[in-house]
Amino acid sequence: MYYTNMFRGFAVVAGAALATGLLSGLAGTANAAPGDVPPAKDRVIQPQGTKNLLVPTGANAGARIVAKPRIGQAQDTPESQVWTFDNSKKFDQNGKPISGGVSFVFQPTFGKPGVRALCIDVVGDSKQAGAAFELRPCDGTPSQVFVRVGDVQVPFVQNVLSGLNMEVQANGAVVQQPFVGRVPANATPAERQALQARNNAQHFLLSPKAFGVGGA
Amino acid sequence: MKTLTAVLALTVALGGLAACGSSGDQTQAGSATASASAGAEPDSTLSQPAPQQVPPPVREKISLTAGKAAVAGNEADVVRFKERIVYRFEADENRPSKVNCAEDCLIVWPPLLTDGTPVQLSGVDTNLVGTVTRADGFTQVTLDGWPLYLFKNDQSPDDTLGEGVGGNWSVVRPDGKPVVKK
Repeated sequence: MYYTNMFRGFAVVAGAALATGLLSGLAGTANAAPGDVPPAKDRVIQPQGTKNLLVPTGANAGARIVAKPRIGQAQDTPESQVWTFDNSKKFDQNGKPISGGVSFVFQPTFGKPGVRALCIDVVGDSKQAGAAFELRPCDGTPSQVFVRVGDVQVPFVQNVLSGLNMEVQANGAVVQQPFVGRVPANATPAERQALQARNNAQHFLLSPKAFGVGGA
Repeated sequence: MKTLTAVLALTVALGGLAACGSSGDQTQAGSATASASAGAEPDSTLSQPAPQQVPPPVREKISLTAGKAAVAGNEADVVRFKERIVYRFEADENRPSKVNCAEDCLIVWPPLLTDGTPVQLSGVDTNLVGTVTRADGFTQVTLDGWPLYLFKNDQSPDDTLGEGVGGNWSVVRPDGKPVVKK
């Protein structure tokens, strides 16, 4: 009898909790297309080991993407430094969904009637190393799709069209570059340090702005 | 009994939270495909993937047929070409016509490029149909001035998977207007 009652108790609690979990999961996808992960608003893209954020130089198509000091902490981060991560399905040249593909929509242009949504794109849809990034109207094409590679917390951010990674240069400009690769055994300390710095400049924290610290 | 119930409730509730997190915040876990330590030595085990290949543009005989389809849950008047739904890109321009979706657009959004023969129409006003010369020299068919495209991932005549992609793509009506205004 004791075990029967205990089982009933388990069934009731588990059923209620399972229903709650399922409903909360469904609520999160209410506005998405079937199978799509809904967009994630209020995100920042922070180069690892810095108090900078990736931002456009303006709110217009053609504005370059640069790393600039964060303005305000956590929820005080202004819209001009915030992105919406579009997690809807993206497709490659063979029409297959790109696993984990995400587009970075400049949040002031996201979901506003009459405003064209602008996304981070490669200038000229270039596949060449050194090409810069800019804002362009979101079109769902591979040059506007990125995947996270490597460390889960601080990944490389790789452009799907070119297969190259975002990298912040010393002057703050953001360009695409290949992996740095292994440091040659005969590298001098200075060369080793330079390669290490480049490797670090290819890692980013992609997080809710509420997690943010630093800034003015 | 109370202790057991509390433990079970906590366990399953945490499962619910995990389900919620996985649906709404995959941006955190993401799709990391390999393991590397940020800030450590550069990792030579990560290899660069091959770039995507942009297909060559294809000129062809264009026909536009008006019909019906479910768009965003509602039946709507639409246009089809080769039994696929036709779209317009809201960042293009229609007066005058201008194509702003080039380069890798060809991977996902094949434009309706005419071979120069007259466009065949069924249920579409001939006065609304025209063409625009693209930067690459090809001639793209327009409807009310809007350059027209297909969406590569539409597989059947009723697919409207391209509607709303990037917030800038619209299934187009026979009058050239979007079914869902952006």
